[in-house]
Amino acid sequence: MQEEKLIEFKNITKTFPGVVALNNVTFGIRKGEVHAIVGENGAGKSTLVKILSGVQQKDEGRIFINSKEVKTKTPKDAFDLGITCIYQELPLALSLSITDNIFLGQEIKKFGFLNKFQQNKIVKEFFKEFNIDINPKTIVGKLSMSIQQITAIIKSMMKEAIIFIMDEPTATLGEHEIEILFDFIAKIKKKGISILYISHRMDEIFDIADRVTVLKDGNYMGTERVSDITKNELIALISGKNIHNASLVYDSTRKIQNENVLEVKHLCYSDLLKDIDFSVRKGEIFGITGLVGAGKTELLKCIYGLYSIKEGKIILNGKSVGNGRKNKVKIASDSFVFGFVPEDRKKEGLFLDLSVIQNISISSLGFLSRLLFINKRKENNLVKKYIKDLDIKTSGINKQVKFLSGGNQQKVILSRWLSSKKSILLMDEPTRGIDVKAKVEIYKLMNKLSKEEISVIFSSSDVSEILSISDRVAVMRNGRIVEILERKDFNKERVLRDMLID
Amino acid sequence: MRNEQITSEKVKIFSFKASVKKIFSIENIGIYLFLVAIIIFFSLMTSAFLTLSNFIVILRQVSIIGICAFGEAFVVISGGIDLSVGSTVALSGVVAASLANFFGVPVPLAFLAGIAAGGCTGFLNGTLATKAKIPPIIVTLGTLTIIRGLAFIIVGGNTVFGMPVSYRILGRGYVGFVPIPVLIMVLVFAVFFIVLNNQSFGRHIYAIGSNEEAAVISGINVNRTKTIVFVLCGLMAGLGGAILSSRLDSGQAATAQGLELDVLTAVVLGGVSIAGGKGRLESVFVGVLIIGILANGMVLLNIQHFYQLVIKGAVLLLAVGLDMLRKR
Repeated sequence: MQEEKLIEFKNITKTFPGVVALNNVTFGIRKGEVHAIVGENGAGKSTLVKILSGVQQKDEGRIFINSKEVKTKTPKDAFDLGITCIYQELPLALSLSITDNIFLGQEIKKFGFLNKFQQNKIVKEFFKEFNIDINPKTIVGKLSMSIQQITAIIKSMMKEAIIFIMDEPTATLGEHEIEILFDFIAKIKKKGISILYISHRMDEIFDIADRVTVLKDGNYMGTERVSDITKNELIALISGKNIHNASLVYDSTRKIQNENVLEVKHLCYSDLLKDIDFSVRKGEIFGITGLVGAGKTELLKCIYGLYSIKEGKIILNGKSVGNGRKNKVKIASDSFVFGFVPEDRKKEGLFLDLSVIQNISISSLGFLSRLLFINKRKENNLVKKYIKDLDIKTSGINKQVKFLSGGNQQKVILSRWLSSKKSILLMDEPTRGIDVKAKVEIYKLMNKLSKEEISVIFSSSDVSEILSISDRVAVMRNGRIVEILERKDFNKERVLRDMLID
Repeated sequence: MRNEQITSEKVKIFSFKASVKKIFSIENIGIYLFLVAIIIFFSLMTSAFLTLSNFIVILRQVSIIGICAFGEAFVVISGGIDLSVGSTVALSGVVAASLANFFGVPVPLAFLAGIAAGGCTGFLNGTLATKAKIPPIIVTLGTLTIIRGLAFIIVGGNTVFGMPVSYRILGRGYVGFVPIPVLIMVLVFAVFFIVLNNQSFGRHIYAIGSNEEAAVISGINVNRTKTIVFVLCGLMAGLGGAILSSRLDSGQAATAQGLELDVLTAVVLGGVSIAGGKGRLESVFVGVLIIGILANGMVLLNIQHFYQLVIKGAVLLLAVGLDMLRKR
């Protein structure tokens, strides 16, 4: 590929109170390449993206586009230069059609009226160019996540774009959807548009990226051609040290008692879960895997009591618990049984406007209070302990949690449940969208919990992950548990077959 | 290891800066400055303004708005809104006055009954909002007229006169030189402040306002908490109604029309986010004071009522607008 630099970062530095987010970072992005940026949580990836897209201002350094220095003071400046960000939360109006979304603000009009026919035709052709056959009048909210993303991208392609910034675009996608998206990326690349790709998933980066730049603690660690580097080398660059293979994370020294803490019998929920039967032992790490839509989330939410089940029983420590939201949430909060780490941190987990301390202690206030008053010293100490134990990177306990990076936010939610003394922890895709090092930290934490006789039930669509850490794995397909495997029978092919084939 | 040390030193340096910065970035500092500004302005414009007796007058005038505003602040922080406050004030007043007058109920009990009536309207609001899942703004828009109607039905459209003399104490009495309503307002503020800042109930209110779904998953009984918040707001409106009725020495179903707007103005002036999850009670107190001082000062300056309305609205927009600009 020719050394045709589209965008160059020169000596970019950015500091926040207490943290140097970017330290003298210099590198370039070529025209028509997929350029991945990797690094741990808090390495400076998001900050770099925000500076390029005009959301934040650099303290020092310069940015060049086609060898001309540019200044992006606002997101609009960046947008006008052709820098387009595809955020995790897509800027789409879910209740409008694909066409309406794509032409929002730039409608084609005829005599002051919308020319819907023309618009739909253009959209249809646009999608066809990427081998996607779709009715442009479809309401966006009804589309799969990958098509929604593609809609957002096409929308921004209506204006002249030179680079797309994609931050964890596959975080919410299933395998098949990822394929569609990657096909699409390969096609826009051919049009000479560059892509700045941020992801924690090694496989993806090796699938799709041309080059990869590594950041660590705000420092530039190097840019490599993907074809010139192995996964292990890349992980070593990211972590600054050799990281253990995830399969070494399984701790076989743990002793799991033969005592069932939770039994689920013939559980049915709506049409989404059918005849679910399994039990979990004290201190066991129980994995649930399956494709997106197989019913993993629904199962966890039924157990937690967020959904009321249609049929079946949930038996806790030998006692059957009532059906439905009211009873179960009461159990969850009062008797320290369940903790729940939701899949969508921002929507269901975090109080973004509240502080780190308030986010962590919210489920522990019961035992932190005496005579209705919160013992603030005790609360402080408890929260500080978990910030230290889990190595949460924040400039203070009173910082609003929305300012933390994704991995640290996840640790905040984990701290919430660890501090509140639960005996069963339900985690829905706990490692989604967080970096390799933080993932390993979470695996270690699961082992530690298990040693403290806390049972962990977690879901993941990453089969390697689920097989490396679980004692047993339930494989789900179309709302049923197809098979439950003991560790000695673990076999990746078999699990994949169970997941995929009817 | 070395890296860590460097960072921790940096944190120390920055934390000094941060503490200086903190003073200037106190939440809603704008309205504190605004309060000082209007005090200075009215002091310069009229000598009648800056006297102890005038300030006591101001405090007494705002006491009912204040009491209601603290309850309303809870509702708004929890992500709701209560528009039925003014009607509840009227209902409480006619209930207390009628009981004391026609049924010979002892005065303190009559007042308690009025307050309890307020609690009932709050319970109704809370139940409709949480069980029937009607948005609070619609619920209270409905109960706003229902409650007003009930108040008129109770007194048959008449004004209730002729309660025992002791009926006037609550609204007109003094402890030392402090009017009883002012004392009650300060007491309510103190209690609500402690609940909001030092009790898990208060923390739950913020959590629900910030992210209701996450609050459910965190194990908070969201419906119960929201209902209690509405009941508290209703109780405070009931208390306000008892005081007003006592001060007027009558029970009138037509009183306090539109009071909820003054109450909401105070709450919003105090920086409480209408989207929920954010706001400080001490700032709401300042918001209440600003409303009182403006009203008082404009009367002292002989500004016509119509102009007063325009100024009052403009001040709200100005204060909130400036605060938004500062945050940007």
